[in-house]
Amino acid sequence: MPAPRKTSSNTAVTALMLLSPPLLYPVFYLVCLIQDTVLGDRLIIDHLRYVARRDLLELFLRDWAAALPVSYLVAVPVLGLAVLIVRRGIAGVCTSLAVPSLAVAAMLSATVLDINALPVLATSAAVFILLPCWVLSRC
Amino acid sequence: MNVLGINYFFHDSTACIVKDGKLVVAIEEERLSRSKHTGAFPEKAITRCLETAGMEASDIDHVAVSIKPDKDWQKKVLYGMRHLSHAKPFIKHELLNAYYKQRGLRDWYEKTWGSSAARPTLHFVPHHLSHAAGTFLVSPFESAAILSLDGSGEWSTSFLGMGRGSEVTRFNESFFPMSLGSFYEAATEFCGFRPNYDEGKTMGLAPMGDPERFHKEVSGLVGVGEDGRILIDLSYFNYQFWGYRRCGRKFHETFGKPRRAPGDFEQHHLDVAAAFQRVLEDRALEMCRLLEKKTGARKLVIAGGVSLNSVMNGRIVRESGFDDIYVMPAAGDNGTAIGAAYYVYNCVLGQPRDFVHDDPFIGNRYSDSEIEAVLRECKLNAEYHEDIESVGAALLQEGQILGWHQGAMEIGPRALGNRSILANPTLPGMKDKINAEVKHREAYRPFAPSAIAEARTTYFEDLGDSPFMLKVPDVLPEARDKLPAVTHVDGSARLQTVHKETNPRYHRLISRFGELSGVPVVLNTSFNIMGEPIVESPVDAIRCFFSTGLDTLIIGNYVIRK
Ligand SMILES: [Fe+2]
Repeated sequence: MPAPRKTSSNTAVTALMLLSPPLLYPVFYLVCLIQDTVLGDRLIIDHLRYVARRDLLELFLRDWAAALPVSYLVAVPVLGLAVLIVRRGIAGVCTSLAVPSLAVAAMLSATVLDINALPVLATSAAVFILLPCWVLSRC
Repeated sequence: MNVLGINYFFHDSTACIVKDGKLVVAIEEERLSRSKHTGAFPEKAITRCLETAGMEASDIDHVAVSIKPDKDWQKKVLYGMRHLSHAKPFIKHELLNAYYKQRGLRDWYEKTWGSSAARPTLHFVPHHLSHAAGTFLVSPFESAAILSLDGSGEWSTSFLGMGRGSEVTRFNESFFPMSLGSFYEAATEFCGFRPNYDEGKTMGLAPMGDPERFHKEVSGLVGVGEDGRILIDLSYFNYQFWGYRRCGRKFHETFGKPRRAPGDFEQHHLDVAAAFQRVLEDRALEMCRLLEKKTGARKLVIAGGVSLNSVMNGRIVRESGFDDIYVMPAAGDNGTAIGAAYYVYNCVLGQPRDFVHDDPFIGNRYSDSEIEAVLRECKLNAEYHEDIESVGAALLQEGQILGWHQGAMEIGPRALGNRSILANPTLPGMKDKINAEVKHREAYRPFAPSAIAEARTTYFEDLGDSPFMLKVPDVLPEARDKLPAVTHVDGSARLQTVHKETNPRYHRLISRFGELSGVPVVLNTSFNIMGEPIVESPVDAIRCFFSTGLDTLIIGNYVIRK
C-alpha cells in the first residue's frame, strides 16, 4: 500500500482546484490573441487598439465573470485527472514535453489546414493543465 | 443546363432560375407571402419560378445557395467563447438559427427530390462571394474592381477584390463585428426606424441634418486600414452582441436621446443621420481609392446591402475616379440568389460568361385573360384601352395619382415602372399628398423621378445611366422649379432612367406625359402602403387601390376608377 502523501500536498491540490479555474479564461484569451495576431487576421488586436481601455477592461471583466461557472465545471474534472496522473507517478516531465509539442503542432496545423479554433482550444487547455501539474510536481 | 439560385438565410428570401446562362426568372418570396423582407425559405418563389420558366423540379441540374454556413465557423466559435457574457444570444442567433435554417433547406431538398438518382447538385456559395462575384459576373464589364459591403454574411462583412473574365480574386475581407452595414444600422435605430430594414429612411433623412455637427465624433468611430479592412470602435455599439439595441450607452451619451417612434424628429436626430451618411460615404470612398490603386481597373462593381445606399453610389461615381460603376437591381440579399447561381454557372461549372443583367423585369406576369378573371371576380367595372399609355399620361397631367401594374414584376426593392404608383412631378403639393393619402408615411420622405433616358441630362447632373434607381444625382438648378415633387431638400433626386429597350410601355407613357406637360419625367414610388411589400398580383393591386387614396388603377390595358 502506498504511503499517504503529506498534508501540505493535499492543501496544495485543494488550493489548485479552487484557484486555478479563474485562470482558464485569461489563458484562453491570451492564446486566442497570440494565434490571431501571429497566424490569423489580427481581428482581436484591431479591436483592442480601436476601443478605449476602460471599456475593454469592463467588457473583459464581464466576460471573465460569465466564464467562471463554466471554468469550474470544466476545470475541476480535468485538474482532478491531472492530479491523479501526477500522483500515479507519471512524471511532470512527460507532460512538460508533450504539451508544448502538441501546441506547436496545433499552431502549425492552423496555418496548413486553416483550422484555428481547435488548436486554440487545445493549446489553452494544454497550458492550463501544464501549469498546475508543474506546480503539483514540485509539492 | 438549369441552375436554381436561392437566398434564404437572413432576409429577402429569393429564388431565380438561370437557363443555359440566361436569367429567365427571379422572384422574391415577400411578394408572394406578403411579409416584407421575409427570411422564410422561399418555397412559394421557387414554385412560381418553375411555373414561369415552364419547368419541373426534375429539370433543375444544380441548386446554388447563397450561404456557406460552415465558412469561418472557427472565428465564430472563438468569438462566442471570448464573449461568454453574451452566450445566450450567440447560441440563439449563430447556432440554433443556423441549424434550423439548414434543416429547412435539407427538408425541402429531400421533399422535392427524395432519393431520385437525378437529384441536382447542391452548391453552397459564400455569402459575400454571391454578392461580389455574382454582381461582377452579370455586369457589363470584362474586368472590374469589386467592392461588397453589408451587415454580415456568415462572418464576413466586406469583400474587396477584382474580377477578370470568369475569375474573381479577393484582396481583403473584414469580419464581424467590424461592419459598415451594422455601423449604419445603429444610426437607423437612433433615428427611431427599424434597423436592418429601414436604412433607406435614414438615407432620406440625412440631407435634412447638418453633417458637420457630429462629423468628428462619428468619423472617430470607424476607419479603414491600409489593406482595406474595416475598423470600428465597438464601445459605442451593442450590435456585436446580437443585442436588441444596436446603440450602446456611450452612443447615447455622445449623440443624445434616441427618437422614440412615432415621435417627432429633433435636430440632433437629423444631424446624426447626416453625419453617419457622410462618414459611410467617406469610408466607402477610401475603399474605392484603395481598390483603384491596387487593381488599376477603370470600372467598379458595388454589391451587398450597403450598395442600396444610392447617395453613397452617387458620390462614388463623382469622386472615386472610376469611369463607370455597376450595381445590380437587387443589390441586397435578394440578389445573392442570382449571384450564387452565376457563380456556380461560370466559376464552378466553367461555362462561358455572356449574360448582362440589365433587365430587372424578370418576375411573374399576368395575361389579359388572367386580369379579366380577377376583375370579374371582384365585380369591378373596367375600361379597356388599346393606347393605355396616352390614357395614363392624360390622367397624370390632370393631377391624378395612378396605380400602374404592368407586365413582369421587377426584381429588387425599387419599383421601376411595372408595379408603381405614378404622379405628376411638376405639381408642388404632390409629395405631401401622396405621403399623407396614399403611402401613409413620414412627411419628409422624398419620391423618385423616372425620366426617359434621352432626357436625363436635360434635368439631372450627369452621373451616367441609372436604370435601377441606385444613383442619386443632383437635379440641375434650372430644372428644380419644374420638378418640385421629386427634388429632395438638398436638390438631389433618386433618378431612374427608363429605356425603350427594357420597358417600352413605361417609356411610351413618360414620353406621352412629356408631350402633354413639357417634362418627360414622372414621379414614381413603389406600389404598396407603408410596411407592406410591393404588390405582385392584380388582386394585391386592387386591394391596395381600395385601401389608399389612389385615384385610378391601371392594370395592363384596363382602367379602373373609383
Ligand atoms: Fe448580404
